Amino acid sequence: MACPATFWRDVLNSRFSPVNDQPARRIPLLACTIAFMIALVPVGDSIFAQPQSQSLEDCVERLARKAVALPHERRMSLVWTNHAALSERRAENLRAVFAARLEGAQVRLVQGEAAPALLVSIEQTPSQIVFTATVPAEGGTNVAIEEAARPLVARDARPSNVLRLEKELRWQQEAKILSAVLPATSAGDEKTMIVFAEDALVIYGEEQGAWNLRTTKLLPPGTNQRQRSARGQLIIADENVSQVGILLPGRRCETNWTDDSPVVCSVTTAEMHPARLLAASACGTYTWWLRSDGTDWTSEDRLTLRNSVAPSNSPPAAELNVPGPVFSISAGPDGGSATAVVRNVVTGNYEVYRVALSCAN
Amino acid sequence: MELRASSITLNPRRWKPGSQEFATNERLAELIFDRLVTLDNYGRFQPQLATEWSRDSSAKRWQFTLRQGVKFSDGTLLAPADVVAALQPLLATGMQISATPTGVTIQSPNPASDLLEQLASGPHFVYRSDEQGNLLGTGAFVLENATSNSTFSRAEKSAADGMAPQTQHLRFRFNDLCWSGRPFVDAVDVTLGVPPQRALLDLQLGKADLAELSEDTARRAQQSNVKLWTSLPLTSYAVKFPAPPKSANDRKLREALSLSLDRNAMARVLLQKQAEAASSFLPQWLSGYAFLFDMESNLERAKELRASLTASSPGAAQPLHLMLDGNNDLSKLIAERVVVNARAAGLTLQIVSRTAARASSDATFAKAESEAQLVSWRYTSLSPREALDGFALSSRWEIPPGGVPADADARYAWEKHMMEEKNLLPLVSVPDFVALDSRVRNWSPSAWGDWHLADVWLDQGDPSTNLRDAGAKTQTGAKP
Repeated sequence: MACPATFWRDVLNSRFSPVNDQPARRIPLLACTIAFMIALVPVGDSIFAQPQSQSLEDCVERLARKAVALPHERRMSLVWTNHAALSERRAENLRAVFAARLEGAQVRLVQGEAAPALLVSIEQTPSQIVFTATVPAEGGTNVAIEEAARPLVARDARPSNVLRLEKELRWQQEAKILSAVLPATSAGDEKTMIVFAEDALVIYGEEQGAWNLRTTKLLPPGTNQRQRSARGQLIIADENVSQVGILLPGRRCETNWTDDSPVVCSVTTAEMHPARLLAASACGTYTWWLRSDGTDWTSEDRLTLRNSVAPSNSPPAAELNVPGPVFSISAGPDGGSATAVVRNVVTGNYEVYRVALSCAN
Repeated sequence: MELRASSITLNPRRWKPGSQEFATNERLAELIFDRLVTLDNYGRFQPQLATEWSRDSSAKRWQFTLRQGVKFSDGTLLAPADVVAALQPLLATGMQISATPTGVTIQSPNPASDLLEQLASGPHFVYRSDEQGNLLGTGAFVLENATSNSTFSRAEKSAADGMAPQTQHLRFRFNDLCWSGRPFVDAVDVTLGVPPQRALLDLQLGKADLAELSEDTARRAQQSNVKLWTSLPLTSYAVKFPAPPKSANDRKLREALSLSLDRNAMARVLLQKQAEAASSFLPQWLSGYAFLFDMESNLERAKELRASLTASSPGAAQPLHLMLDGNNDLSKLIAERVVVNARAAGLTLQIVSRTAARASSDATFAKAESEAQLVSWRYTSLSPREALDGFALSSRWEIPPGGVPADADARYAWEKHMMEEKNLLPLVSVPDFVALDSRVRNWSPSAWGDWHLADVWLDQGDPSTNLRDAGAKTQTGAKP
């Protein structure tokens, strides 16, 4: 059965690395226990400490002090170049810190070509942000360099309170859940939740605040998920909300969740992407990508929100902690929400969350 | 998978810094050994065998807490003493590692603010030897067998102390005891010594899932729509002089040669944009300040300097010998371009193969070796200081007391000084190229060359496809 082009609209190619675009590795019970124990241990400030670089502002202040200490002209034009994964706003703030420090040291920053150029460049290495200042001097230039740990970029740039991610637990169970969706329903209709549990679609309806099993649709024989590559993604068609698609490794299945039709599968080369598009018009003109930040299947995870034009490793616009690795993120019933499946590292349960983007101050 | 290196050794103590073999050894060692920490693509150090770490304000004393319950592949528990025994010989001179009840402490005579970068790269794996001398790790795989023409017995393997000098095939199978969970694939089969052209063909024929390519085969792969991965530029090529200039004439010769080199043309035309022009020893991605070095080409100035050379100077009346290591095609190609560039400035260079020079006479070999060499250097450390230190040591450069400075200002100044000495004329930096079969999933390497094969899985796809491929590929993927 052909799939409408718009069906896959929310599975756009993400600019971000699909961190969790992988089957779940077996999580040893011991590792979970250790992760939990570690989580309980208070981590002092000295851990992961970088005593020299408290913030990027400190780093830039030190750079400015070094630049001023070098032989220099009294009038200079400041050329500020950002090649690192810093937002332009953040780079501009750092520029202001640098300029203020220079002006405090009686260096007059002017615009135009008449004055020699003081070049500041922000570069990035695998572990560091490197600030270099090339200071014009009589007969040549001098160089000052400062380094800061790259994670400071994220630590300093706390998400603003304009954008906020909020989560609401909708379901939990011991058996594995690979993906879940909360399809849009008409006003007055019963709310629905579709859960994809490895080899079957389980459809629930909400009555008086409780989810009741409505029906179960088994996947055709031969499409069972492989032991170590169990993963799948549910997708609701934009044009036909009663049609649900399941993306499996190398396969695509479809069914109508409102009737008794069987699940039909075919071979596909479509790739799954864990990032999900959120289009909340109230949150500016950006298109937002929601993705997980997970690097470890034994620890808590984080959902991050980035706008689609930001550099891939720029700080997120908003973030939300979840109690375990994120297995999948599906588009929600509206443009401003998504459904995330998380395995709680404390309980071992699989949990379904509705994650909503809030634009309130 | 098919790799270019013809032999490997898994014992990190035997790896030669800066060599291409180092990179292959490291990649395969990554399958069976773990590190204390790793670095992720966001610049964050991630716990591996160490779960916590801290340092004092001078960065001379570091404490690491070890993960509990980690087992070697033979089932024995990892102990702090194992970490001490493995890392002590690999740490920089003067560093002392000692066991604590919960982990290890590393004491450095100088500030070691880059210690995590060091531990997250290079040879700093944790392993131990069993009674037979086999190297055991805590990683996701274990070396199941190593074969060439005949299968090695366990005793033969142990006698080689982790080395497989004539090995052509290696098989790594999953380690069910791995603390980070079982890898997706059951095994990784490695064939060594496969020329890039054949590796690409094997990949296209479905005989391999991953193939290491060269610059020219990478271009072919791109044209054939093969899935291709390119790393950061990890290998630098340079003209190296064995000693500082002995005279003003010698200095002028090096200056003229440096100004005659058109590095951009080498990178863009000769290597068809598969490389980057290099202006310093440390590449931009590693130091963050390489752009400050200027290595512009100035043929007119080079000609002027050439005209001022004494008649007996090498490069003038008699050729300057440029020694070439081994039979690396790319080295030869670059060396030939250096000769062409130099000729445009009136300098005469003659390429001498190391093996040919050695065969002809000791005098020719000594002369060639004393003049200039075309060298390649593979970056294997995430610490710019350690990378520079390793190169300086191997080149017998004079290193300041306390080693290459860790402080970026001082390190830059020292590197600049060495560049101005013209002991080294950087040419180009070249990335790694890997071709992947379409069924390889979750390929998520670090840009600096860690392949993370434990996270890769193979898409078995349609059962009918599997039947078709059954004869061609080793079935190492996840089973239904």
